[in-house]
Formats: sequence, C-alpha cells, structure tokens
Amino acid sequence: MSAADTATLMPEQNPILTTPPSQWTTNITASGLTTVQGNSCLDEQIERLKRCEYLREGEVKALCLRAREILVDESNVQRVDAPVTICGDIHGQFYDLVELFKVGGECPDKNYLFLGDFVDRGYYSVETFLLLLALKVRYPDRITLIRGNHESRQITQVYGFYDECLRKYGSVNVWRYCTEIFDYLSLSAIIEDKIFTVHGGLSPSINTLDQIRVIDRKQEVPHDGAMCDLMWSDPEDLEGWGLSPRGAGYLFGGDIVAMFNERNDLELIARAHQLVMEGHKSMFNDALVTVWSAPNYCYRCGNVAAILELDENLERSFKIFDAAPQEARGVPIKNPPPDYFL
Amino acid sequence: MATAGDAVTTKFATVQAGYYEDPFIAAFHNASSILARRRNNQSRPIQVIIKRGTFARVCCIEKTIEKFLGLIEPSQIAQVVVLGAGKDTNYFRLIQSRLGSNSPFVRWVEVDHATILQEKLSVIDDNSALFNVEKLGNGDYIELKPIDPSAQDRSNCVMIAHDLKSGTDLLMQKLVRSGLHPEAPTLFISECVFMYMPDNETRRLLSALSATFQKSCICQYEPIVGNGDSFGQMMEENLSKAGVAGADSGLLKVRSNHDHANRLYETGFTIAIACDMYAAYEAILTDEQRLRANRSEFLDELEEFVLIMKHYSFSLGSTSESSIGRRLCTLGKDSHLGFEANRSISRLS
Repeated sequence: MSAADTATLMPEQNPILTTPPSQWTTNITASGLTTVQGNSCLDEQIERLKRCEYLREGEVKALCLRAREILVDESNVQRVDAPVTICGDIHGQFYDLVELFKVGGECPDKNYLFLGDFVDRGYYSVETFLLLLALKVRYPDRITLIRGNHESRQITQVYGFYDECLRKYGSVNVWRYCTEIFDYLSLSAIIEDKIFTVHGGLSPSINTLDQIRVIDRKQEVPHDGAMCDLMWSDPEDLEGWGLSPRGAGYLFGGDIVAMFNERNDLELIARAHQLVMEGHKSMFNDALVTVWSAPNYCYRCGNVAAILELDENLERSFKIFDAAPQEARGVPIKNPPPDYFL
Repeated sequence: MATAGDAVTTKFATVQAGYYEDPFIAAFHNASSILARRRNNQSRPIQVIIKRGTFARVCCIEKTIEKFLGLIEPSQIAQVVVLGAGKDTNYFRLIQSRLGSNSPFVRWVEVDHATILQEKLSVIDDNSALFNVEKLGNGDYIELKPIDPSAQDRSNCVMIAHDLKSGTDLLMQKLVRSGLHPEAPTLFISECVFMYMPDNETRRLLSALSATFQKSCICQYEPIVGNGDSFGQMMEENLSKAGVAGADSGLLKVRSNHDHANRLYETGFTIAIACDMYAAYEAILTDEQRLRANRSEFLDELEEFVLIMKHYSFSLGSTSESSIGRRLCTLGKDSHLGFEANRSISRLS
C-alpha cells in the first residue's frame, strides 16, 4: 500500500468512514499483479460473482484499484461503438441482471452500455456492482458503465447500499472502496457520434457535448449544477425547463431535446432513471427514449424490464423481460417483504 | 397487533424526518421498538415514499377531524370514534393544541383489542407528564380525562376493549354504554382496519353503525389492489404471501375507489365519495404541506410514489340524516376537504 493509494482511497474528512490501516485485510495492490495472473484471478472472481457470492474485502479493494486505472482514462462523454446493448437501472436486483444477460447475451459475446443506478433498493447491490465492475476490468472495451444518481455517498446511505455493505462485511470499507470508484465513472456516452446516452437527462447549463467533456467529474454527485442535472433530470411534456419534483435536476421539454440534438448532430438521447411499466418509452417523436432494466422493481412494482439493442447500423430493437422466477431469484427468507402502508 | 407497531414505527420515522409534529409518537415508538426489533431481526430504514405517504395519510385524517369539528356548533357535542385505533395519537394532539374556545365538546372513543389498549395505557402511565390525562375506570372501558382544567371542559376519551370481528350488537351496546349519544353528530375513523376483516363482517359493522348513529359519517383509509394492473397484482400477491389478508378479506373484496363508495352506500352511508391517495396528496393536502414534504426529504422514487399512492383509497360516507356528513361529502370547488370532481368517485342516493 503506497502513500498515494492511502491518500486517494482513504478520505479522512469523515471520521465514520475512517479505519486504521492495521485493519485493512489485504496487501494486494493493482500494480503487483501481472495481467495474466490478474485475468485468471478475475475470471475466477467473475464466476463466483455470477453465483451471487460476494468477494472478500481485499479482493474488492484490489478490483477497485484496477478499475480506477481504467476508468480514470475514460472521457466524460465516453465513445462507444455499435453494435451495443443499452441497459437502464438495475438497482441491486442481481438475479434480474443474470436474467438480463440471458436475454441479451453474455458479456463479452455482446457489447454492453449500462446507464447507471447499479446499487440501492434491491437486496444484492454489492454482488451486482462488483459483477459489473469485474466485467469492466476484464473486458474494458466490451462494457461501458456510466454513473447514475444512486452512485453517490449520500444517496446510498439512504437507499440501502451502505447498510448492505455494513451487513455483509461488518464494516464500511467495501462501501468506501465502491463509492470511491463511483467518482471515476463516466457521466455519459456517445454511440457512433449519433446517440447520446446519460442516466437522467439534460441540464440548462449544458448546450454542447464539449461542455460536458470539461466537467471535473471526480467528486461526489453535487446538489446542483451540470453534473447533478445529467444524473437527476427527467423529460416531461412541457416547453422549456421545469422544476423537478424530485428536488434535484430539472424537467426538460421536447423543444429542449430537439435543440440539443440539432446542435450536437444527434439522432437520439437514450436515458434511464424513470420507472416505465412497459420497460421503455419513447418521447418527442422518437428523439428520446427511456430504458428501464429492473423488472418488478423493488419486488413491488410488477413492471417488465427492457434493454435496447442497437445493431451496427444503429437500428433499434427492444428486448423485454420479466423478473427472474422466484426459484432462481433466491430471495432468502430473511429478506422482509416490500413495504406497504399498514 | 403487528400492524399497530408498524404504523407507529413508520409514523415515528416520518416525524423524525421532519414531515410533521407529533410529540406523543416517540413514547409509543420507544415502547414498541424492542418488540419490533425482535420480530424483524434487524431494523431497516423506512423508505422515503412510505414516509411521504404516511404524512399524506396523517394530513387527510387530521383535516377530516378538523373540518368535522369546525362544522359543529360550540354548544353541541361532537363524537369521534376511532375503530381499530391502535397507537393513534390524534386525541392527544387534539387536546394539546387544537381545541379552541369555540370548539364543541369532543367525546372521543377508541376501539381496539384489549391487549393493544393495555399496551397503549401502559405507555400513557409511564409518560404521565407528557400525556397529562387522568385514567378512570377499568376493564372494557377506560376513561382518559385531561388534567388541564381548560381541556377537561372540552373533551374526554373512552377506550373500549373490543375485537371488531366479534359481535356487532355487542359493540353497539358498548358504544352507547360508553356515553355516546345515538343522536349526536358522530365521525367514525378507520385506517387500514377493514382490509383485514372479512368483507361480510365489515358490512354488518358498517350497517350497524349507520343504523345506530343516524347522524354519522365515516372516513376510511384503505388499500385498493385494483382489477388487474400489474402494480396492484404484485401488491395483492405480496400482501397475501405475508399472510396479511385472507380470501374473503376487504383487501381482496373491495378493490377500488368505486368498491369503497359502493360498500358505504350499501351499508347506509348513502352519500359516499372516494379518491385515491395520489389525488388526495395533490388536492386535499395544502400547498404548505406539500412544500414541507419536499423540504423534508428528496423523493427519488417519484414514479413508485405515484403508483403506491394510487393503490390506497381515501373515502368518506355520510348517512342521509347527517347534515355535517353531507357537507363533508361535497366534491369540486365547494368541497370542505378538497375532493376534486374529476378525480373522485361519488355515490349519492
């Protein structure tokens, strides 16, 4: 463990997040592994993760170090080639992610672009995020992960990922490693210069992709401003901009989308962030599409999920899927039923 | 019994998050949390949508009580009966701050299982300075009298131990014996009570209430699983799996706003209106209340909030003899409560 690693992985500003180095359980560093050793080790970890077994704390730390080296070089508007499959929110629904890969094809046989919100709400945020991160490290050109509003220290403390890490590991170290990596995730992606993808939507402070490219993204999701808006905003049937009922980001209308697409020579904005009962929803004469990939969201909503496949000519087709069957889902008995008002 | 504890836990979290004030809920929460933790094995955070929805429910019930009392002459007696009261704190909140000098005398009655009432009374005993009431009587009737003399002249509260599923006639006798006048204006309140009861027993109960208390009205807050929409189907499945309600329960038999208005109509509350809780959130709550909710917490799960709120019903029924009930049951711009004409169901004789 170098001093530099300590400085970046162990932010000292929050005392509850600080653990003395004597309690770290691993000596593995990213630079200490050769690629070959790393990949065979990674393959084995991916196999374990696919069985919904979570990694040891030291393994998570090493994985995050390697992921950081890859993510740090990615652009805020990461370039992605077609064909590619676009996926929306997953929210810790691990068995439904497995179902998604069954329906869409395994990574790396197929290229994937995930639009964020990997964690929170579901029972398996740890396994879900680590599987996607391990795939990213193993096949960096085959899978792209961008940041959602739940990839945040603040939000994960309210919506479940923090508590899950604490419950599964007995400490917040894994949560800290993961949230540190969240800061490195790209903010958006562009497919073949024509399709812009982002978790939430547009921002009144952003007119061009270049304005996104110059954001310093390596920070916690701010409460306002361009970076916040990209992750929090929603399209709405109105003109111009509106206040968001979520309390962060904005509502934006079809005229804003038309203007943005025109100015940046885009065909389509693909985004996630909003539950859609049918899995996907097109708006503004197909200038924008919402993709939602968490079936029966929170084990309560009864919705289907969708992924958007783009072929090499950017032809679009949706694949719809249901929640994994109860047997495969493996919701342990101790997981409480979803909440209602009683 | 578990649900009375759940409601307290949820209300406590909602108050803690700043949605509204309830100085009494913490005492019930502290007493029940040990039990709740043992049952759940782990305490988990209450979701934001659950807190916001709980706030909406509290606001709707509170507004109904206020409007009901506001329509009664100060010289008259107003009667409020909470069916399946659980750890409801409305009475204490009312006598603490909301009974003005021009309020009518409020005769408040709470009905629930003997064990629940015992739990409730022991919390009141353990926190006597907070609740500030004197306990009289024993057995099936416990009277709580405010110690503050100014409040004493304005209200009293009787707790009646009774299982709502057992004997409607017996309950009517108990209600009258507790001091309620069949002729006085009466508001019944039931929140998530009839969902558990067999529909035919609820109908017997409602019919007996409307026949015994001829000038009465009732407000209900109940889930509506709908007729085949996917959220409702999943809700039905989840709640059935959790053993919350059987095949003949209100949950499965009374599935929509329409069903609720109809059941009220068919059981003697011949003026009946209902809307879903999302409409109630937007129209019955005030701008200030919604602003306060927005300020209390971010709501990331907006779509889910709309879905779950559309699966709860707020309904009101009045006997034809109750001029106050009839006035409460108006729709549109004249509605005392804020029921919107285009988003509410109404059934009129």
